[in-house]
Amino acid sequence: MKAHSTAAAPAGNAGPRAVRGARWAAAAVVLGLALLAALPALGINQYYQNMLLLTFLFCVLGCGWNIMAGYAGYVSLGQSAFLGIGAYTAAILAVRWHLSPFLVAPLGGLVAAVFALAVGLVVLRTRGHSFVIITIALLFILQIVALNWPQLTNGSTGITLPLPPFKKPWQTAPFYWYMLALAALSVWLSAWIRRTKFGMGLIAIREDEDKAGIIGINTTLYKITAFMASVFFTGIAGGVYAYYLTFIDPIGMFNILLSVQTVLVTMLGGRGTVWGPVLGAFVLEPLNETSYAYFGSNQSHLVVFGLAMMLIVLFLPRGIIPTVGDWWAARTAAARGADGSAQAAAAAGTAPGAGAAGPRAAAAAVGEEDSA
Amino acid sequence: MHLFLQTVMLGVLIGGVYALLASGLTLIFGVMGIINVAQGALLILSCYFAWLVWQTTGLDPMWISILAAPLMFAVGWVLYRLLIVRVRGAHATMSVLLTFALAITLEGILGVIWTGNFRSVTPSYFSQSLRIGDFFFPTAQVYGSITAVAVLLVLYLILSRTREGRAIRATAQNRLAAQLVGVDADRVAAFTFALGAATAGVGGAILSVLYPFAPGSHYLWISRLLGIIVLGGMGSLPGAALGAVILGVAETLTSTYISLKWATVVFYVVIFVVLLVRPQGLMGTRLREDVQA
Repeated sequence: MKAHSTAAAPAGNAGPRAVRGARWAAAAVVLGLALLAALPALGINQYYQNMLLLTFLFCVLGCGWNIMAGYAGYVSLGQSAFLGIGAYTAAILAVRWHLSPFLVAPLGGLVAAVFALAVGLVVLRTRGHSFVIITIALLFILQIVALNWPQLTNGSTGITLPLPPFKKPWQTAPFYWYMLALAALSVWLSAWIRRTKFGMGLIAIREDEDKAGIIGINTTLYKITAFMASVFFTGIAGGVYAYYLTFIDPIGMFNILLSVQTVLVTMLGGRGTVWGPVLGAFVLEPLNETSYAYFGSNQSHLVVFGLAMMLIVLFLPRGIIPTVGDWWAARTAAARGADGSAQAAAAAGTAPGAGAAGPRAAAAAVGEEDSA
Repeated sequence: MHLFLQTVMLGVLIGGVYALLASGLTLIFGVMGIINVAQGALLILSCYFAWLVWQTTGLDPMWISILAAPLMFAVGWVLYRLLIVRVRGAHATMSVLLTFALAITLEGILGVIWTGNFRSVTPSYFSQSLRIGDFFFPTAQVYGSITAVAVLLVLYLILSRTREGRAIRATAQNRLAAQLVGVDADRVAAFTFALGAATAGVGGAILSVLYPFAPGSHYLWISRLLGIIVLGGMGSLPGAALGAVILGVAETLTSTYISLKWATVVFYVVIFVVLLVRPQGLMGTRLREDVQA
């Protein structure tokens, strides 16, 4: 129950300084959000609006994936399946009901959550490797169903959504704001879960599922709820993304590459931290655009992603935020020097191990990454 | 009735090839407790190797498959020493992510060199069929299945008769006890991973004749193989063989009686049903960590 003690410690001795710090952080978040929201009105061009919109999409995907993989320790390799579910739900309903996809997008979130419930009931009753297997299977089974059930999905022809009514130069802005709102809500949900008993339970499950069960956590209920929470906003984002593209097809929507990027975004920023996926999205998406500009083809893109993921797993397994956080803690502890506070000693004690930064060290230190 | 028998027998033949392909995946899981998501990519790598050798020399792919085994063994050994060994002992998610990253990298490299187009190896008997009694079978399928079963027998002999093989089986049964009696766990893991890659080497060369392949085909194959070993029981070699034959038959029956396009769905449906009804599979006990001693 290392996770409990380390995570509870900052809250326990929250002095006036910590409270002030939290206020500053909250103010910074609100200010950042307001600035991002104002950008289209300030007239940044379509290219950057598009880039930021995709960044927000990766925030949504990454924050969702993080709830399951970062908090509960269950990796999904098919997270983009839920984006596809949301996209298809919104597209089908919008066309049939003659409604704006914006209005029906939340239903995509609900349908995604129902799928997560069904999948969760199949595999999350048990432990182990079945979850990762079923998430791969789910992505491809949905792709095949979407291809071979033309009555519902229009098959490989795809679905064309209603054309958005927005006039230039505002053609991207509504999507931008919608996606920004979803990203903000995703971060909020992730942060909220992290603070609650529910989130503590998920981390306990990650650290030791047997012991978590013994202290009275209903592990199955927790895992299934977490899985549903992890796909809800992704499903909504799917509808918005589909409307933004105005055209969806099975290959593009049930795309494993999006799953790869989701994993990469969160791993890079810091798995199990609230802000990790956000940082990862803001780093990765611009790199993404640059690498497309330089390498062009999809295939060399895969090499870049694959190698990046390998390097992160091997050399930065905990991601930027926990690693930098430890480095900072060690630095300030060293600066405070011999004043002998217990806190400094503790920080210095954990830092060298984390500095070695092998995956093994990460496995040992996985409890601490949450204090960042 | 004749069509039914023909379909079932073809399914058994296909199952023979699947059994070889799945053996490596289940072996690696049994010994190391990791799901090698890159197994499909190793398979496709070997497909390209076979295609390249066949194009330049015209050698029969079945002979190339024998060539591919030691080569892929070496590739597997290097990959283990270079990458996999670094996540031994880490959280299981790390090995999944690392092998996933390896799969994507291999897919990308193959795509950069040979584009995303589908290829296939077409020896002279490629489109012929063999008549056995009243039944007709694609010649390539028969040759492929014979090669696969022969290699599986060799694998069986390695596992049962050699010192390395016994060490592998001991480690799969109980790692701690194996280490106590002097088995070098790291060496065994490297050998297992290399052996798994070697089966992918043989399997890939056989596949290159039977199915068109592209760099992205590895997703399809890893899904198929996961279906097989989930059904058979993860880590169990006889289970993988049984699962392979059952799914081979299920696939041919689906494509004959329902539709070709739903045939692959069989594998995914089986994954769901098995995990729902019998998570440990037909012959395994290791899928659920919580039932382990």
